[in-house]
Amino acid sequence: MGHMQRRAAPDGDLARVVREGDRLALAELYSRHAGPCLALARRVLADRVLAEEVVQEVFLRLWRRPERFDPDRDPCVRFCSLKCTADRSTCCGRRRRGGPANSATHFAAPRSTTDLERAVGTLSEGEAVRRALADLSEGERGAIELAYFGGHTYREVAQLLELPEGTVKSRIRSGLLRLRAALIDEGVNE
Amino acid sequence: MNMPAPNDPELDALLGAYALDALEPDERARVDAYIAENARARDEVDELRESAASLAAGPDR
Repeated sequence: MGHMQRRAAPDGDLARVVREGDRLALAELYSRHAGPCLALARRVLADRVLAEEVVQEVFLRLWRRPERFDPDRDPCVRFCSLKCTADRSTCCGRRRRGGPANSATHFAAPRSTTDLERAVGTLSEGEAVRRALADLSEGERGAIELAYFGGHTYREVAQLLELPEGTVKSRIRSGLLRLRAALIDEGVNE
Repeated sequence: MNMPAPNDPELDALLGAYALDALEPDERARVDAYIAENARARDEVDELRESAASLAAGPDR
């Protein structure tokens, strides 16, 4: 699978070639899903380091045991639900047993690709992101936070905020575009 | 040279929610099909996802 094919491929197809040992397919899945996955993990675990470990664990698990993932049954690869509950216990358990987990091990499999390094690199940009978030309108920020950190669909966000769905849709999109511009200004994104 | 896939404003409007994984399954499937054909929309999704990924590094909560 070539670069453009990977970028255009649905999740299920990527998962299938991960089974065949395609690291770059794993990197593509990572760049698509690691962010939302981390947001959810942080919501569940309320411990940032632990949440990052859980996310690494999920993708490492997909790499090591791809046969356990059935892309035909779930072509959408809902990573977030796929792992959080299952990994919570193992991650916490390991920590209790042996102190902090060895993060070098966690990163070992997928680390070789630049996509992945860039995705992981964004984890350390908290302050710049906070400033960028402050640039958004309150409506944009609220819609994005409910969808992203709250895990709601935009329709649910519209119900929660008692706004038309179209308004929420466009606030999420414009807010993310504005966030991107602000992050470029901050030198976080290219 | 191939004709570029046509833009669809209705689906473009969903790209932000798509990047946040905040669509209903049927809508997500439609956007999947759309961005598989439309390179501009795919690039926008990549950019929005990058912003979304940064978001996870943001507020401590």
